Amino acid sequence: MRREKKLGSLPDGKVHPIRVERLEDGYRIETGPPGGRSTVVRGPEARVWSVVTEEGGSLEALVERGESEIEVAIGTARFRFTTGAATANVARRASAPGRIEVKSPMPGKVVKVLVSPGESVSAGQPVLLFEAMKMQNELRSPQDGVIAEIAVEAGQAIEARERLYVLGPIQ
Amino acid sequence: MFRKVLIANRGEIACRISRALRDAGIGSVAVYSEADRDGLHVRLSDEAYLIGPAASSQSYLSIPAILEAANKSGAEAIHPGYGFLAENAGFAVACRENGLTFIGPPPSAVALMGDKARARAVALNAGVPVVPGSLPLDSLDDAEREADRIGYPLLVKATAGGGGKGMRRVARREDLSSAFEQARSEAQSSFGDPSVYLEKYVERPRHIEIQVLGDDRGSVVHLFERECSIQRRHQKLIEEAPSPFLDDALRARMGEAAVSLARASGYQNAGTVEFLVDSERNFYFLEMNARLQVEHPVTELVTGVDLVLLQLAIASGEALPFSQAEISRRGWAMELRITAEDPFQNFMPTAGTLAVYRPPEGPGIRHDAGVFQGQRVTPHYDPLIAKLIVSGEDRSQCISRARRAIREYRVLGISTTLPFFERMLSDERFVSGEIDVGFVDRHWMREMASRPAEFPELFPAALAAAAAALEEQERLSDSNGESGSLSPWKLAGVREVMRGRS
Repeated sequence: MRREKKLGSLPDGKVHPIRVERLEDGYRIETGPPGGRSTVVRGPEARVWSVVTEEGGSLEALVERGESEIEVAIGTARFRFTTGAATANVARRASAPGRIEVKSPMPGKVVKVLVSPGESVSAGQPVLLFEAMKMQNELRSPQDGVIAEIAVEAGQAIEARERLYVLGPIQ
Repeated sequence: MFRKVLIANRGEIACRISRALRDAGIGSVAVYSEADRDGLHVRLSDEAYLIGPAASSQSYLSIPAILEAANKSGAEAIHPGYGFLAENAGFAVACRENGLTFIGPPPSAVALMGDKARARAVALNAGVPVVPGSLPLDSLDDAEREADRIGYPLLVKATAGGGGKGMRRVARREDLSSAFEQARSEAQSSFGDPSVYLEKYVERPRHIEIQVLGDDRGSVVHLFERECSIQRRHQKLIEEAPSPFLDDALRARMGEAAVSLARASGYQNAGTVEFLVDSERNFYFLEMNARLQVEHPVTELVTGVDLVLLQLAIASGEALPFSQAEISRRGWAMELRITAEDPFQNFMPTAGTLAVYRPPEGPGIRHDAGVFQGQRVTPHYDPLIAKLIVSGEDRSQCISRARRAIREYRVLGISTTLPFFERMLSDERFVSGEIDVGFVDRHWMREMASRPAEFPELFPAALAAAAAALEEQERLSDSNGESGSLSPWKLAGVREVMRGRS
């Protein structure tokens, strides 16, 4: 039995169509480029999966399913994906290529907004000054782009995963 | 020796102390806040007392709550760990007044080291080099004369200052007058006090510290150095012993300086004297930490001593079991601080549940953790979750083992500093030992972390694993849903029909 599903990758918001086929000990997965075919086998304990690629290499992947996100760790590399409705939202908002929504990594307070809408920012440039765990931190832009929208203001208390700003593509 | 000791701390250091108490056959008492009910330190201790709500001001910093727990449990002594009340002279006094032994230096030494100006004066008197500087200056003439004596580059600093306000770096004599005036007016507007002084600017210094131990009979020894130059915003990330920079002559001179300072201040128990070391091998006293340090295991691994056990012995009135000549060191050790912070987001703290937590094992690995799999990492306390301490015959083997350990380390649920260490330990400049306190700022913040972590070669596997896990969950919830929608009566009916068929 084959099933189709979609996953959105974060933070780029790209949607990835996936074909899933059930095996006895796991699933055969087919994705579009840059993926391909692989077999994902249940590991020896919860959240542990073994990914066998077409070339035959095997990797251990740890997977945690959150409410609207899936987190995957392979070694020290971490990946985040959205599922279901969240993917559709990301896809809609990200319909322009390179348009991404940046959300707060944890609850805290916006101390200062360092840029204004329409301003060009480069990857790594501080966008917001954010206070969490009694420490002030700069939230840096994940990529080059133009600030399309700022959804928060200085002094505002924010929850984890709350939308902070939207980064549009460079014109 | 004590029969029962209370640990006034949480996290990895409370676990470390609890283990030492069990090693010594001493009863251990943990205290915990409402946020730490199932903390690892609670599980590792013989008994535990709730001392208040999550906010540390009402729990781990509450002297009355901790003294009450000590009283209820019948503990004879309190180990404060580091942070919280460890360098609070008032707490050390309160322990004494309540008939409890404070495991640390005498209150007078805690108070002295907490006052940076007095500590500097004691260092000067003891013949320990401090960063050359002047007294507060009122006129430009005085400033110029003092600046010529100290030498350029130098800093003009506000006497009442802090946070870089009222501070100016001056590279040449002709720039002094404007910097002097600017710093004075900034100091006046920021602190209401225009007073400034001069201090030599130490370029690209290393942070190298000396571990000392003193008993109550006046015997003081040092246990060599730890190099802690890999830090950001004064928070250490990697510590190692020995320092790749020191030779035996300089090591001996710094050790002697640290011992003289400890003697001059009436110091007892474990403490650390921090120095800045410039590229010309001049060293300057920075401050003394009157407590056990986070990075103490590095010293334990190269000297073979157990610092916490020695703290207990000294506090109970025993003499140091060795003289300076009997202390030796062997091999190399390095500590990596695993914190709940995102190194690609300027080390922003992260919170979440440790869905998977599997630390590394094998030759040369010591792992001091304060967390376990399934635990929630809350934003209430310090983000340090564990210390990975690696030892080897030499620095090169130590680094290889650390790299191997990082590859084995599995964490899912929060961001940690592991990717930082993975890249740092492969960086040629780090491996060569050419490090200073600005290293992380210059190389990590400005180049290595300027772009978020991208691992394109692993992306397809990650996507496939996410899809498989999603499918599995949907399949399981589907089958649960089907059986859940049938009442027991209907299920019984289905069984009847099936039975009839066979």
